[in-house]
Amino acid sequence: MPVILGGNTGIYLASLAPPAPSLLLDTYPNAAVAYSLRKLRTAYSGNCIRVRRSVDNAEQDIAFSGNDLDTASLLTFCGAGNGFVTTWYDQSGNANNSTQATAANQAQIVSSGNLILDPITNKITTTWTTDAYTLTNTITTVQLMYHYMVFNRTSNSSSAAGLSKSNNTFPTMLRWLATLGDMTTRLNSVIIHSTNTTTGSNLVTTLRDGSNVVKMFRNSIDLTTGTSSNIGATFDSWGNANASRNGGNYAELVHWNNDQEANRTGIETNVNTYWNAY
Amino acid sequence: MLINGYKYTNEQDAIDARKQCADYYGLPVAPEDVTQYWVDYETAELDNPIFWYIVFDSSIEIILGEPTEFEVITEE
Repeated sequence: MPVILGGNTGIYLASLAPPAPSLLLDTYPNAAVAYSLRKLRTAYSGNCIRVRRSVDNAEQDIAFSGNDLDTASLLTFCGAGNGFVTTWYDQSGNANNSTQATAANQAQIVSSGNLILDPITNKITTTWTTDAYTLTNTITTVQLMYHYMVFNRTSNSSSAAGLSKSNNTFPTMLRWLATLGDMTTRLNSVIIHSTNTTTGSNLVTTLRDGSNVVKMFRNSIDLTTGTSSNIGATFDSWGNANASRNGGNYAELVHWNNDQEANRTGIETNVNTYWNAY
Repeated sequence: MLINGYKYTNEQDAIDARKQCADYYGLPVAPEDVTQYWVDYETAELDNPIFWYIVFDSSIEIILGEPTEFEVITEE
């Protein structure tokens, strides 16, 4: 709270203003990649996303307004038409942006001049139909990994995937199959953590600990675990760039190639406070 | 999986069709743009013989003509 000196002199001490709230990656640093429609790290000074507008297919980077996506700039750029995400800029500091060079496979963020809001959370989101994004640099699997994604599984007829291998094999930190509803990880062989055909908003966390135990949590609920010791495989995409690309609404994905298991409650609280996923 | 689209028995034909669509829509608009293609082709790598295809979208019918229906083997 500002302090007024001398009663009514009107002089404020700016240095006594409350500190800016800490962002997710300020508290839990050293992520391998971080994509989001919100700002995740105070020191990150780059853009949030790059957008193609439908009226003439021109593209423009969209930055942040405070710690949120600069939606005013986004809507000004898109006008009365549609907007599609060509690039998710990596906020981790590793400059590992993810891009989609094909217009038909780019997620939509503006529809007829309006932001796309998730129907459950009422938060800004991106609608994926047959979409996936390619990482600039591959990420190699290591022993200790922690991954989460915020998304709305809007239909049981589309798959949902986090960091993956684009040729439809492995590794993948999260793949939620269409129709069958299997919630899987695959660091070598497939681990089915749950079978769930429901739709709705999700924060799904997956991790592997130091004992090769692979764990999955859906909306903070512990699912069935499995084991995998495989390391050295490479992720090259967000989503699965094959016939079964992602569907649904996506807002955020962060992956650490280090141990964050002890921080899971704090990370999930931070994420859910912003996105109201559950 | 039943696909409605355009099937090619050699990859170069699929590449040419992709370029036709990109040219029609003027992509890329600027050299620094990420978007290079309007649609992309897929590889039916589990089929024997292998083939390539573009999934139908109404925006490309004017370029590639009437689509056909065909089966593609997928993992799921």
